[in-house]
Amino acid sequence: MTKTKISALLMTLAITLSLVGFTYAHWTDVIKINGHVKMAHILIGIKSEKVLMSGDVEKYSNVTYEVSPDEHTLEIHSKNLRPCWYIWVGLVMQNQGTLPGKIKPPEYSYDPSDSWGDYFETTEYFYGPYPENTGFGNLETWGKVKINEQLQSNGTVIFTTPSTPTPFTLNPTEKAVIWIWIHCKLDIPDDAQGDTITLYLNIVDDIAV
Amino acid sequence: MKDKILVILSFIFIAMSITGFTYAQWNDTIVIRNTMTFGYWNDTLSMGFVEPLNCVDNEVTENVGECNCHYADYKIDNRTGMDGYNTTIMIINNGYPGYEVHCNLTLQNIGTLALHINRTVISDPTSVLTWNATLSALVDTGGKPILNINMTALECKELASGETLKVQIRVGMTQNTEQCHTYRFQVRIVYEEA
Repeated sequence: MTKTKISALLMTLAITLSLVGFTYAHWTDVIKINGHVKMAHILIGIKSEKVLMSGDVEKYSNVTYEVSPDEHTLEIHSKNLRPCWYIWVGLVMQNQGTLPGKIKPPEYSYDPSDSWGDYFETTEYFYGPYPENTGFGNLETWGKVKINEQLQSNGTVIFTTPSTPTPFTLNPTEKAVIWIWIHCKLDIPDDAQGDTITLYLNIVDDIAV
Repeated sequence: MKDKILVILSFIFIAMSITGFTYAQWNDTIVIRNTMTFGYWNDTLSMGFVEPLNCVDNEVTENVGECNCHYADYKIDNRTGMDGYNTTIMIINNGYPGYEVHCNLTLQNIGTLALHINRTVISDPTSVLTWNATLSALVDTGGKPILNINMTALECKELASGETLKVQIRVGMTQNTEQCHTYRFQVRIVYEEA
């Protein structure tokens, strides 16, 4: 008898609950706002590079260079450095991202040690921005640039095109030219004579909005 | 006891036999036509998104980020003849840290019954981000805010039939957002009969 009562109660409860659920479902409803956010990206990469040396420097120093696969860094390996040693590094940079980027002087680091930065001085000149389809072969600041002509041994340049003050904005697909004079200003330590010094030129990505 | 069970089983057997026989007979020649009329609810509870709808961003001089919004899932209330939409879709492209989108939308009670907005539930339908009410942001697994979401307070708002309510939802991208990444969010507005 008790069992029958309990069963009846449970059945009543189950029926009541299902009715309540049905009624609630019927008298409540939902509307939605669906959002989809796709983020942009910034990528200022090295599209072309030149490392120029004077004939005098070429006689005693060996320089090789390569651009990193991510196009962010130029590695310059130099041997037999002396206080008069200098090179001119030219880069064509392009904004390959979807955001306007800020062009700023690159960051320098050195191997075997960043303390090697004390032995060097650098001067940068920026030109642009240029549209993507610019013919760089005929561009005054890139195409026929030579050392000891437009690029002087004392770190100055002779271009009719004025340099662009930094930072400046490089919109997506636009390009810019940068010329960097790298000069060894101090005599390197005796124990490092003949060693290969690697200089890393890192392009800095920065959003310009 | 055994007799009782036997009687019950026999009774079921006979009943089923009669049913089978009857069905077989009917299946042969008889067609039964019938009309059944069901009752219906006189009142309807329905809220929808209606015009006006617009979307603006916080860019003044630049035009980098893009925002777009539209309604989807059309519905019409047969009792009132009013129509609306079940879903608002916000699409933000080329977002970046500091980019903010304001979406101004309109709610309308298109049913016959007065309604009461119960709650709003903000979430990431992909379950990658979780809602942090204190920060008013969808946060990543490390608790860092990714999308700041602020919305007009809707809880406990009541709408009579035909009444509209303007709502603003503001979505901001924080410094913790990742490049090239796609984030999703969903706001569920739950309502009930007032």
